[in-house]
Amino acid sequence: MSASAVNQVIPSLVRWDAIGNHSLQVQSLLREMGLESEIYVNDVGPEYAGQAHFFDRYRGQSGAWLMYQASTGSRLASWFAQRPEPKLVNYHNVTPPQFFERWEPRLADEMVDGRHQIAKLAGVARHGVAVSRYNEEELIEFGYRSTSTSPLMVDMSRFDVASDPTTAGWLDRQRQRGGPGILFHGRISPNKAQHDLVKALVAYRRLYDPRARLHLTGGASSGSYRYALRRFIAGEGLWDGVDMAGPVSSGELAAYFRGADVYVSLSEHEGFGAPLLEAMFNGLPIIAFASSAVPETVGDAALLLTDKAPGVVAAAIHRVVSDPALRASLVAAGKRRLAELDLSRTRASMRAVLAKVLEAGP
Amino acid sequence: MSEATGAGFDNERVMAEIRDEVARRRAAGDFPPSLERELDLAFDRYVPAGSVSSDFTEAVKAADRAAYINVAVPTESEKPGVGEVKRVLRKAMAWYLNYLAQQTTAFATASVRAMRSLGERLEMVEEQLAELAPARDDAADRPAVAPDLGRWVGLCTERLPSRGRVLHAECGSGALLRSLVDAGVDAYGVEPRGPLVDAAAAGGLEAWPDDPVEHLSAVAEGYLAGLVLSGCVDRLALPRQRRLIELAAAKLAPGAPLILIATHPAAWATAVPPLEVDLAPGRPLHPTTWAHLLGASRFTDVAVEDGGDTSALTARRSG
Repeated sequence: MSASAVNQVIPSLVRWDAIGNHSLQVQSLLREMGLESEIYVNDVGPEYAGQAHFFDRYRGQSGAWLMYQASTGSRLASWFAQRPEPKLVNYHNVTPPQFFERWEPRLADEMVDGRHQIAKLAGVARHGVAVSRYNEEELIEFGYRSTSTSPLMVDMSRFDVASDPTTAGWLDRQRQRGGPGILFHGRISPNKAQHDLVKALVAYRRLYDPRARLHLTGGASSGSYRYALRRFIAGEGLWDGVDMAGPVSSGELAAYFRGADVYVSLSEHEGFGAPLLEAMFNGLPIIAFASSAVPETVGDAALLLTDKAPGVVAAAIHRVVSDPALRASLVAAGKRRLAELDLSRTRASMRAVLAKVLEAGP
Repeated sequence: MSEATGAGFDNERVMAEIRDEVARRRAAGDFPPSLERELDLAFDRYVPAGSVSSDFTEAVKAADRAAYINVAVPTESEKPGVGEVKRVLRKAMAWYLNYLAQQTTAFATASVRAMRSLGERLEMVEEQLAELAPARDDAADRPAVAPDLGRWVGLCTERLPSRGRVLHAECGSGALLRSLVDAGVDAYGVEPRGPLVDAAAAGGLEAWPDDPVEHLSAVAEGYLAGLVLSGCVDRLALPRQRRLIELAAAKLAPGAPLILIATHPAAWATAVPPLEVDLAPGRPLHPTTWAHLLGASRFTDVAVEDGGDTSALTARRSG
């Protein structure tokens, strides 16, 4: 292997970010392979301050490759493209702009730019490695000639945290009132389609149980979408039925996962869908709309919907919460799927990809 | 109830049972399609206006992009120390530049908002003009030979899936709709003319008094497993016909079939003098024109079946 170092370039390294954690795994893997590896960022959270360098401090080194963690538009992409080192792109997907056009035109434009940047890198990158087959197909569409898929590296032990007692207690009291607790974790964002979950809740309450509750955890990517969602919830008289928890700590999130009866994702675009793994880890049965990379992430560990009409989603939720055998099957399938995506396996997969690409030389 | 097995479960079978349950609850009136539509409408009320795609919209978006003045000047430099100097200068001048940038951004944003508002009003006027176009009266402007939809029953039942909701718009008094339901298709209809929809509903069919374009606007994206269009495709003015096709592309699930039954222009022309035919805004389109419109709107496998007075176009929503 002629490479002596593979340094990563990532626009943002912040806490609880699946891509940031993946980058740290890549770094430890590269070091395990006997290579030097540093992370260069445009933005870093205080908790990672000692583990990353600002990109303008980067000085080239002989025998080094650069690897770009691509998930958003960033000026780092242009900087990366102009560097003389041999390049790799690790693609996590950039949300297609049409989801944001109605809500955040400026963000949509950034997404257009982001996708253009990824496409432009096809001309300079030696290889594109995607975290899902769905993403790899996009890389091929962008014009990448050499591509592969290696799943997102998720350290499941990070999910094994103690539940926040206050949140757990509150959720327990909610549960005692009856009705199922439905959970979705992800940023409040048009592509995640939380509004469809609210519609499904309306249908469920009308058809099956008026005590059902929906918990939405995660910060917001779009203020206007969140505002519309809140008004929609108020307009449907669901203040007592929908809990928009916002950003939560790992302990609070663990409480939400452990206090729910079913995890439902109606997201229309996921490059991988890391929270689905957290649901599996916590023994939650999953119902998911079969969009983008979701089917390959869940494998057979979710009831996959091809139609998300509120009545259909409501009936699916009812079936899962009222059919213990189906629930047990889903939970068991989730455990098997987690084993398939275990960190040791995903690291081995990424290691094989990196070894092959680096072996071929610059 | 499912059986718990180590080998998992049959997603297809469970979903089929769920769809049966939904069909049963819908038929019982527990959760009518109108409620789902109301939910869509309720949320759509909060969607920001001004999101249609057109050159004007693109221009406004470009202006909106440019309206924001970013004072975070790039400070990186290849030369040692220069980046630090730039950062110090940027920080020192921030109070001054921010003051100017805020005023400029406020002015530009207000201008863009005014442009958007103007665009929305213009769009409204265009829609009203399209509505005001001398649409043909139902009774007087029907083709000399009434479209015989019966001849297309076989085609429809062959192409439409037995799973998922299928819409027939406009369904008239429900003759074709009845055939579809009898053939096991989960079909419902919309029809704007009250007496006809009443007749369909009286026959036990799920038919709603609604305008096809309005109805499709309210349906969730990708919701329909199939769509049959007839009547409206002859009657509407061209902008609304195009809108109808756009909506069909948006509301059909990927791979779902569209069947469009249109009066052949030649059949219509037999009852109307040539001059009126040429000038009439609601003149039926030639099947080739429909095929072109469908091909340009995310439909594939477009084929034309000639039935004399009427033509049926079959197409599939691209995956």
